[in-house]
Amino acid sequence: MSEGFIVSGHDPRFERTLYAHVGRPDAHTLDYYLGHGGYEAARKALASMTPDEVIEEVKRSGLRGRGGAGFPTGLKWSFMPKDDGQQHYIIMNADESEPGSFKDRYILEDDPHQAIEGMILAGYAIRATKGYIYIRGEYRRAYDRLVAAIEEAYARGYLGKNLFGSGFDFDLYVHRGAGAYICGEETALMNSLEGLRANPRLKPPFPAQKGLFGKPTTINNVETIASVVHIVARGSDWFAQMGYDKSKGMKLYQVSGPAVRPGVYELPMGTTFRELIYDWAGGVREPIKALIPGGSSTPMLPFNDDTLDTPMDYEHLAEKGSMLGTGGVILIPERACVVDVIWNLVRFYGHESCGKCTPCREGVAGWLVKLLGQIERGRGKPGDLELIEDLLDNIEGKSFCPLADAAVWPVRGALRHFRHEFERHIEEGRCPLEKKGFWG
Amino acid sequence: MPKLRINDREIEVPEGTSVLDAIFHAGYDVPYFCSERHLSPIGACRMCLVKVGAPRKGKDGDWIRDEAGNPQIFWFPKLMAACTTRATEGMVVDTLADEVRKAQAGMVEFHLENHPLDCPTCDKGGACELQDRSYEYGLFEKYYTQTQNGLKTVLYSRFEFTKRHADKHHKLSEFVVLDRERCIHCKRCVRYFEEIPGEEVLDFIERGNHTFIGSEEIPLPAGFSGNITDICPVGALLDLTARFRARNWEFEKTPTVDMNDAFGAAIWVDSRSGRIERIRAREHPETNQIWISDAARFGHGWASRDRLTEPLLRKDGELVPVSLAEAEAFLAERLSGAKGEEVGLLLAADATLEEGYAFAEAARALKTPHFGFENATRYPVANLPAARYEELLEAEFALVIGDPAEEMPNLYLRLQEFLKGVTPAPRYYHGTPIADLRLEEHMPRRRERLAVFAPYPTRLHRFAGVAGVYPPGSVGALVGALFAILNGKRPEPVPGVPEAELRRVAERFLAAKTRAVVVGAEVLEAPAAAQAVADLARAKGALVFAMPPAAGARGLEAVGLWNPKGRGWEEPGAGLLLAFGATPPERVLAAARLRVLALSHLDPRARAQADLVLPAKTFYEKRGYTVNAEGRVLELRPAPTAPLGAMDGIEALAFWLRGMGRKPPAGHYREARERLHERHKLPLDLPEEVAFWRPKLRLAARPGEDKGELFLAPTMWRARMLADPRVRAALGPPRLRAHPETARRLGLDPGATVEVETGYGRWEARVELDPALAEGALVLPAWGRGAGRRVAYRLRVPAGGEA
Ligand SMILES: Cc1cc2nc3c(=O)[nH]c(=O)nc-3n(C[C@H](O)[C@H](O)[C@H](O)COP(=O)(O)O)c2cc1C
Ligand code: SF4
Ligand code: SF4
Ligand code: FES
Repeated sequence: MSEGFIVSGHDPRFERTLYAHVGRPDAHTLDYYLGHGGYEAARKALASMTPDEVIEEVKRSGLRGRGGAGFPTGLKWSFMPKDDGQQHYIIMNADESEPGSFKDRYILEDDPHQAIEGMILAGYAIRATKGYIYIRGEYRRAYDRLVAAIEEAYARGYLGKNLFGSGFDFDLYVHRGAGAYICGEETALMNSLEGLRANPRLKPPFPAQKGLFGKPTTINNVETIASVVHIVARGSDWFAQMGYDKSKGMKLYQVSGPAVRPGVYELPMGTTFRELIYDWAGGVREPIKALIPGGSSTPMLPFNDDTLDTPMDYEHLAEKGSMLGTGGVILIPERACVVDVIWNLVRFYGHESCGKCTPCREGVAGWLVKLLGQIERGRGKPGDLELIEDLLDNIEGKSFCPLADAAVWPVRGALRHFRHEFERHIEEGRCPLEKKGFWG
Repeated sequence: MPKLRINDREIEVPEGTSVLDAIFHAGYDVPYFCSERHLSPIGACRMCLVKVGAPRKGKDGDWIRDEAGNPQIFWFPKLMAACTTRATEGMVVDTLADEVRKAQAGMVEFHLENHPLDCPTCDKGGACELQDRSYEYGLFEKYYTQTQNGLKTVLYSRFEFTKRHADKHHKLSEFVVLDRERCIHCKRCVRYFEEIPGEEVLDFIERGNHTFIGSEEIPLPAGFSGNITDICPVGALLDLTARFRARNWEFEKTPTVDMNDAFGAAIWVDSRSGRIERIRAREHPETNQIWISDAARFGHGWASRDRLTEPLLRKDGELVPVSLAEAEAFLAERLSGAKGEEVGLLLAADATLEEGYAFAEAARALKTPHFGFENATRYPVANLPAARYEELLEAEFALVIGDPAEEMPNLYLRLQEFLKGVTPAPRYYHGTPIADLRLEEHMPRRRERLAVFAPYPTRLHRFAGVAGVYPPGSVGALVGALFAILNGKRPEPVPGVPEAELRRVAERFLAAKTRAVVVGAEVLEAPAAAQAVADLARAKGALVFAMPPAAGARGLEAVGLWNPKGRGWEEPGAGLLLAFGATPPERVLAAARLRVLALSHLDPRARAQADLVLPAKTFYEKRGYTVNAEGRVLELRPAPTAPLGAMDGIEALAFWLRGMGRKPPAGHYREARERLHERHKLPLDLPEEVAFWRPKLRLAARPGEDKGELFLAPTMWRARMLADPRVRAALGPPRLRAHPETARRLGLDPGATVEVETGYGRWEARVELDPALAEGALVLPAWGRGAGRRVAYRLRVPAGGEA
């Protein structure tokens, strides 16, 4: 197991980095961070690397965005204009609101300096002297820790003017969201930061041309930016040994639902569901019928050997007709009703629809929610499933931003693998499962 | 200029054209709701989805080619919103594909899902974009049919749940009502306010399926709010003045020109059964585009109420209806043996060129010094060069002295466009671009391009890099000082405006390659200042936009109605008086022996002083031409609302002259038009895009200076509009604005109601303190009479009131 790609947490070459200090006492303090090699990557990069070299290093590592879409990070950074004399911005997307995703939270709570160091590196690479961290409003403790960490960093010269004597200035601001999932969409986030209503903006112009306050901007997920710290510290080759061809590095996987130990697990990209669920999360507490592989917007897969042996990365999950998303695995127990689960999810997306475009506002937030509710309540009619499928066609790929698609995909997944449950609801005129507890 | 193919047609379009405009340019149709001319494209409604493909360039920089050697077309994986997709070289667009039709039908279905479909009681019915688009694109048999009892029926929507319920009568102001159920969330109204007049008043509230339009500012600020009723694609925003007055197809729709101000905005007059029910903006790309002011739109109520329908003659002190023959006999008797120089011929500010011509010719023939038109300024606006409104967009710097939002509201909107740095859009076969990709939401305004000065803070002040308030009466000093700096001389101090500010203005003025100067009534009332502007324009090269308080001023002056000796309209002197279209001031009437007024409405002064009143047409009902502030010749067409026997100025004048036993210059409109054309060689038959009449004139200015202390601020609203209770309610009582110190000195308490009397009339005004005014300043709205002037006044506390 010590040759080739590292695709298992059991591989002796694998070492935790992103979450190495999460859960340790006082890990959020600057002293702790410095005591564990903190800010060395930033010091090294600012002293001995040009911004382009940082971008090159990230490109070589094969790092892809951990916010859900998996866009190559180095490539994204290289879109930023050079020597254009404008203010550039780097934004850390810490709005983490996708059901099933909770990985960014503990980085910010327990290791905020890691995030700050990542921001310095990213800012340096894209020539941004100002950074914003847009943090989910409900993350109160993370916010407090982050603000305290930033204050500490300023006080000791890790933020502000002339960092590490390199002449590079970097200011960092934290902005709390006010509780809308859509604020995690990058352009809506920028509107929100500017004090406008959080509707997604038109692309093009892309953020790298015209982003926050009309200036070139790069926006990345917390995990993406934190990963950069370790890429710079240990080199792109180290990073690229983990994972298969196009999915590289370590990944924070999350397990929720009736697992023995739900939580966040840092593992190499390409680890299988089986390893994650049984070796790390301690197995399941009850019979499971399906799993959602990467946050609620990814189509569910049946809980069988085929699924369990699938490596969790972009390519292998695409082959299975699903997505890696944020790596948030949700287990759906046998006793749960799939129709209910899907209705719940679509209600979530409907509730979070920003209302800007028609298919999402009327299709997802209105009609789809009502139709699924009707079926779950036992009032479904023959033809409803065909109608739902036709509506999905009229929504998917036709909305302004991907939120509507995010609502469509789980429905498609459920209809693909659990159509019989929907049909039984309609035939029997009721939900066949006895309701009890959270899942029922 | 990219070449692309739309279905089967190859076209070439300017760089930056949206696919949506390319489709229309090619002669094809595509449905759209959220896009609108002059607003930023946002891609929200998703109606305009089409199939788009484009060739790609390979590594070698050449197109990737198929076997036949043609550039290979790569279709986008999803349908693209045509409004937000840029047309590029070699693109291929398919608007007729099955999947496009399905998407369109699906989107119509979503739009109708929560729409109440109360078309039978909706004022937009019959002129509704949602109706039209649903019929055209919603019915797609292949997808939406059901068979019931063996019958095949076509469905618009398969939605079978309860529709969303929301506020159906949400009054946004006295003029605009919002129906939240009908709203299809196109965001046009929201974008309109932010992008066109630059006031962020409306926005969406809540999200998802609960999203609705709302405002913190109820009532909406009056000024430019009405345009949202034109652009709302459905009946969600409606004009309250026309509420439930008629179905759209029942209106008689007359295309004419707004004569409330000198801008010359194109309007539709919608009338029914002899009443004006509604005014809408008419598109004129070079002047008002698709916008008009609230005064022009909602201020029509006066025209259809309490009309004079027959001549009134004073008998035993009372005005009583008489026949036209009796009126004629009366005139013949009173005018027999009258001397020409005794006669006074006065014309209202909204008169047509033909009327002006007839009056001017008659005055010449009679050799009378008593003639003129209402609201003529001391300095003839015709002396100033005129620039096209569109030329403003080419300027790099604009200096404004006055209050465009009130004096020429449409010019204010043009200034807003100028602030955004937008240049005139290309013209397509279908006209103005519907999705102009150069426009964006929240475009920064280039404040440094604008300097504004006025005797009070105007709407424009907050958009200007340099904005100043000077005391009324100092406009001459201001222009003088600016002039001095521009000529490298030491300026005299201007009260209220620091010299450094003036220097900044001069600096930017000189640095700009093209500059514009916008001046209002106050400057035109100060001949030295106006002359300085004319000289400046000539010496330094600047586009001049003058905003005369009389709508027809340029034309009336040019056809010979400029009276350099007196104010005509305002100066007593004539013994035998004919006034058309409005009632001259009391003292003018009092000085005359015979007072004949041709009016559409009887006002208190006419009731008290006229000897004979003839029924007259309003400007909505006249045929004729006018010359607007840019020297463009515009045609007025008559709405069928004038009472039988109502005269235009030409007929009233002929009636009068026949009484004197003289031959009129023209007996009726057609004759006047021919004579006018013969005499002045007017480009009357050319299309409005090219018909300009800018004769080079050097008319003598009238000397003099205002001495009073009350400044009459220009307003888009006219006194006659106040006859409509809705307008009165919207505007509230006039505000007498005073600097706190001034108010204290005069013993005026804030909020108190006082009676203010000037030579122009009497108002009950409410006192308001405004520390932004200069000490000593007192400002009252002019409501169309004496705007930009400083007049003497008397203040009284009305009985029962308190000061
Ligand atoms: C509706 C919606 C919600 C999103 N929410 C988040 C979020 O909470 N956190 C996040 O990092 N990215 C979120 N994204 C993805 C971002 O738009 C963006 O792609 C990402 O922040 C880019 O960072 P990355 O390249 O590092 O992944 C969301 C996207 C959509 C469409
Ligand atoms: S899909 Fe449309 S309505 Fe839904 S969140 Fe995105 S922009 Fe808003
Ligand atoms: S009120 Fe009318 S213009 Fe405004 S968003 Fe709704 S439909 Fe569009
Ligand atoms: S999305 Fe509304 S017109 Fe294109």
